[in-house]
Amino acid sequence: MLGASKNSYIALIKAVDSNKGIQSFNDAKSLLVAAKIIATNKSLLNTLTDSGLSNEARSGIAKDLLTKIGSKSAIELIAQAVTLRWSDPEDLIQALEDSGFRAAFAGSENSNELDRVEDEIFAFERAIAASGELELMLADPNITSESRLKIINDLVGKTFNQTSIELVNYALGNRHSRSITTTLKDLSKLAADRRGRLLAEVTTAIALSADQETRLVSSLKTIYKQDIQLKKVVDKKVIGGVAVRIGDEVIDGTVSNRIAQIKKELAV
Amino acid sequence: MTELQIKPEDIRSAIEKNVANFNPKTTKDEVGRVAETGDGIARVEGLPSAMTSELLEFENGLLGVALNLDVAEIGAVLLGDSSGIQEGQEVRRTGRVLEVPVGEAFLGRTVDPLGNPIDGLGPIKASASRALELQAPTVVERQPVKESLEFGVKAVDAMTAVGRGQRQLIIGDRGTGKTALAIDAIINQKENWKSGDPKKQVRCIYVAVGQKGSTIASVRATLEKYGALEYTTIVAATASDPAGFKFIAPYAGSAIGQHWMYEGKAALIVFDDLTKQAEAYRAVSLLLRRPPGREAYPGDVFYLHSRLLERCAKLSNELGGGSLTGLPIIETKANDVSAYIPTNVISITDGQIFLETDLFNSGIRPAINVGISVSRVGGSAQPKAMRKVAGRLRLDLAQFRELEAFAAFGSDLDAASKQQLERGSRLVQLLIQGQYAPLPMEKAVASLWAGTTGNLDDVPVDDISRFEVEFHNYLDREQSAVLKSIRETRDLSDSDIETLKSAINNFKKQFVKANGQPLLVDSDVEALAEEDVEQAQIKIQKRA
Repeated sequence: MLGASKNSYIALIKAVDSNKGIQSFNDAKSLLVAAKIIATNKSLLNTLTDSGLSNEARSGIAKDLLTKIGSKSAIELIAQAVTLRWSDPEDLIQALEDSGFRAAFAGSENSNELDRVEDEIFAFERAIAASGELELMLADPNITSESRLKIINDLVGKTFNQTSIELVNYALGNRHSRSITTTLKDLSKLAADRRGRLLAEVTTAIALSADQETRLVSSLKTIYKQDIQLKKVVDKKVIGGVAVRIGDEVIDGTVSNRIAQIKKELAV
Repeated sequence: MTELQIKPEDIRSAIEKNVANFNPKTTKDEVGRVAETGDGIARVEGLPSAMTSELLEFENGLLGVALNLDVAEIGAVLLGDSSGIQEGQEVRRTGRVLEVPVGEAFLGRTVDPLGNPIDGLGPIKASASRALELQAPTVVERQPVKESLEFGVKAVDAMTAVGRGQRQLIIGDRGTGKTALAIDAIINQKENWKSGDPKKQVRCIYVAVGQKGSTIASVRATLEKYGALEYTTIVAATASDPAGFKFIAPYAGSAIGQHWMYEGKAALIVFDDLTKQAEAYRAVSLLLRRPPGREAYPGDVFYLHSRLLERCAKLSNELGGGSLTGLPIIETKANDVSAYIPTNVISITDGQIFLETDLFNSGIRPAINVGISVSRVGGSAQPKAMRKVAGRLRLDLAQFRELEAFAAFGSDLDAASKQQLERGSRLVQLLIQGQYAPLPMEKAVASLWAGTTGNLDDVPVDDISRFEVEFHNYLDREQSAVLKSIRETRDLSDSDIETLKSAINNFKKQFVKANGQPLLVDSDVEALAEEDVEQAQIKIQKRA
């Protein structure tokens, strides 16, 4: 997001984080439903982001049209969102979705479940990354939200938290032309962000010991100057060593990477 | 027979020796993922700090160029076989923008657009590397084009002279001799190269874009045959190469040439041809979903060529005075120079040589259309001698073409028009020149002097070519001093003209026409009257 949108986005997220009244699963759901409705009605979206209309008119339209589908606090937030400036109408959708996710995470945090939700989203992403078939099935643009929810429920319904399932299902249905894994990664990032942490994906051949883990976290902390949320992946293919992925950056110290480097060197 | 066996220990020690220098480093890399790929392009998610035209490295070592930097993804062109690229693969930044290795070692070699040798003659030891996209020299870094770059082709050197640092477009339909003309220009630099004088030497680059492999091989063989390969680099992106290669090939060739230019040397680059580059760029742009414009070319197709050709320049003396002369080639369809790409490139370059199918088929080769061929800066670069003899040539020929069309109706013509027709048809014959037969400047001056001053008016049109060759031989044999004087002073002095006059008159006396008759027949002489005949008497005086 660029320019005016970025500032509005930050303001909106701040409003979600600071308002205890909206931090519940129900409010989150209302926000997501509203975002979807606005996204599918292009004329509504354009009206709500039309800077030619007065702020009162825009928030009035949002309130009038969306009262029936959402909780009161959610509608209040949407009314606030449409009065902000958006350089691209699509940015409003993303901001509403992210506030929805953020509200859900905040709700889980309040009930001490955020760790679990985060782990579950991450586990689901790993499962998809490991199974091409599952990815293809879930990425099918013709699949309905209900049947996707059914698949997810069949897979993890018994073990996962309801919040995780709903969030994953919504995110997969509204990928905005991102890939499935990127969508879920962005979701995990939002959760880590909620706690002011950076998400670090660590890949090793064998599980890290508790001591190694703390050492790794503390050294990553000094590099990135931020709290680190570790997500551990065990993958025999790396043979040895550690690879850490933070956002778009990778620190790859695995044996498999070194072998690949030597291969390249010999090929030249 | 001895058993050939390699011990595992030997293999191990060999590998160990070769990777001894390997120094494993763990660095922080930025990594993105392939979101979508196909048709030689890839969309990459992530890599937020990638630069425009930065090289991206794919998992199998393949390189790509980041062309589109969108909000959430990067559109990249793949430089190589795209079949190994799959969705989800990792992509790394390299931190380098597109660059090619450059240097003296490239002379005589054939390379691909990334500077890798493809002629099987082993690796090239580059002296430096140069970015493909660099700003062209600024106004203060240049100087006007004043030094001539001779093609060795009479028609070009006389009427559309090219100077060092000029951009001269060669344009025409397929099969009208565009490449041949450019190759002639390269071959003509041989004498300069052999002279060993760095001021005279011109290093040449031939960029082949989207051509058949066999065509490139034959160009290479021709250059080798005429001894021109030792000062020429061929940059080849064949028809089967991915579009990305064809798009960057001219820039790669230009970078190799700019390296020499900034070293204070003279270079000549032939882009053969830019039509195919524009087509490759169109393919890439459409695949990257850039909005199509006229003829489906993207909006910046003008900039594609203008920024390439602006890099041809004559540098100021403070920067070493090097030059890069550009000979872009454009292929037209049905001799239409007003199509999109031709007009673009015509407006960028400093003049054009237009080759026409009709002229070519009627045996006038090089098939230069005198009417629309121009050189906007070359005139001041022309040697004085050439300027003196060729001053009115272009105008005369253009008028002749007009008159010729008119005379075709068979109407009676006045003597002046007839004379102009006669002269014109001889000049046309005089400008015909074989392929790969460059003519030194002094000989071209002698020929053109003879043609434009009417000294050939009494030579039958069919005999002109033979007359010219024999006249050159005669000058070599009898009057080499005048050729030397023209060559060294680059001027045609009055005394030179006098010498040429007497030489051509003397030569005409010994020239025999194709029908076996001498060119100058002694006129019949009337017998003297009886009384005019005097008889001399010899008296013998005896000594007393």
